[in-house]
Amino acid sequence: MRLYRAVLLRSFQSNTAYRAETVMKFFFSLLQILIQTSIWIALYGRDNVHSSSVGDVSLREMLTYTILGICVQIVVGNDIIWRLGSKIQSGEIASDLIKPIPFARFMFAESGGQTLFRIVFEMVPIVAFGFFAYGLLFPSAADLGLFLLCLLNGIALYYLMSFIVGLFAFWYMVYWHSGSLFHVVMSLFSGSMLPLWFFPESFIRVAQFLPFQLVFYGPISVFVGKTTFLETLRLVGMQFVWIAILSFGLKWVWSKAWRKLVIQGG
Amino acid sequence: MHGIRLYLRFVIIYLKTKIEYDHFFVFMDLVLNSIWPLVNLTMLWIMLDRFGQIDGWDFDQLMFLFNLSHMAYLVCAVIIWNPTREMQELVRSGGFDAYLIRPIHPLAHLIMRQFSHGHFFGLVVSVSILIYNVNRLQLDVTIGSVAWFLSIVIGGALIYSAYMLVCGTLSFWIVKTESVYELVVDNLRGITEFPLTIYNKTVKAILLFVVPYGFVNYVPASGMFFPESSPWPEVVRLLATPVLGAVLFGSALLFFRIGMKRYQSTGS
Repeated sequence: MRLYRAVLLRSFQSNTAYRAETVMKFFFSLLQILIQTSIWIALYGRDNVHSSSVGDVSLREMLTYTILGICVQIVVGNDIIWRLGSKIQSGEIASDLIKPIPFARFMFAESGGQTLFRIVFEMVPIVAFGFFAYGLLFPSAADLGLFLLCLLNGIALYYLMSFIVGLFAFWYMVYWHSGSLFHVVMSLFSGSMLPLWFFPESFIRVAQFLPFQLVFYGPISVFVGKTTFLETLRLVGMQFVWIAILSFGLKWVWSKAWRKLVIQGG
Repeated sequence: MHGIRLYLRFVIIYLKTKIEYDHFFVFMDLVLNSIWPLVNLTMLWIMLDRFGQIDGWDFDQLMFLFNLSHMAYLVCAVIIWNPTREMQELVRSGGFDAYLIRPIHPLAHLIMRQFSHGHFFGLVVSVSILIYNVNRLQLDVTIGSVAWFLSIVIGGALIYSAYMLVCGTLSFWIVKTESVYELVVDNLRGITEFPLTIYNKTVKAILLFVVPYGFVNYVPASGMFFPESSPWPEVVRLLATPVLGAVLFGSALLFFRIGMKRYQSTGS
């Protein structure tokens, strides 16, 4: 545990070196909030509520969903596919493999440091801005607790998925292809751009069996108070099931992958 | 004329090198470069299916607005995206030296030695969307309207190229220009996928007067769909985009020339 904490803190520190980059990223997120909230305000027009598949959704709930979506993006997001891909392509992965620490966990701790940094310097200002500019809704303490649990599971899920996709670089070297494809699927099925409430029925029926919506749509719905207690329990259950499936999948892909490993020269 | 022939030669050689790769890679390049607009349009469709309209614009009109900016972007990206993106690395590593000793203008050479086949395929998709769109909206296709549309697309492409070139040229002063490039070229352009009237005054002013992407799609399209409510006189709606494009691109070229004078090689 101490080892992972050290990796995490070191990665946090190395992020402090890119100050201009952080300011830029914060600016991106603000711009994103501005665009998306403007779109929703214009879509609602003069109405204050709109019907959906989970009953009426008010504009304020929708704005909360949008801003929270951007925050969840900061918390769960990582660049594992790109990092893993370039390590595999360049052969640098060899030097990671000889470290006396499991590779997937090492990378997890490293990206954890990056996430922690982004939470402190990007997400906190954004939440503060959203609170004052749009009057974010805040849930009850119980819902907030459940939301945080779902979010933690979401981090694990997203990490497992991106790691598996990243490992595909062993077979298919052009990792930006697999990366973008993953992002396309993610934006369509996860509810990060648009809550599943507004999707057509048939689409929801497919999406709810996939793990993608458990990262964005699930936790945020809990926060906005659109799920009953029973549904929340079901959500958490599904998250655990998918975490189990994906961890197993990761082990399997990894066992196949490192046999494919070829390092040029040295 | 000589320039065009030279460019075609370069393009043919470039394409030959691409075909050397596994065909599947090239195929995926094409798919992934054109899939995002389709994803965005799907999202737009789902939203509009529920809500009906945004600020008076229905789905087909929004699709036209979206596609107009996208088409102009793709036209310019095929030609100038790679060169301006590369500039940061070329200046940092000193690779720009090679371009200074060729018998053609460095920028012309940068443009000629690549051809963004992914963006080109995106352009094919974009034209198909346009054809579908024109049918749905029952727009008049006459020589006049086609000429107008082409002048808007070319003007828009020049506006985008000008900002790409300026952001690339900044590499002569600043080491890392990636984030500025992304902000100006991608993120600000993303705003104009929706009618500018839905944003607050500051955003609107920036996109009309500082980084005038609004003139690429919003001003012409709103003039076309809602001529009575457009605050712009007709002559502006018809001519502003190409004129602005020519002026901005000319200034960007001048800026590039100033930047080039500052270039000091790495000396290795």
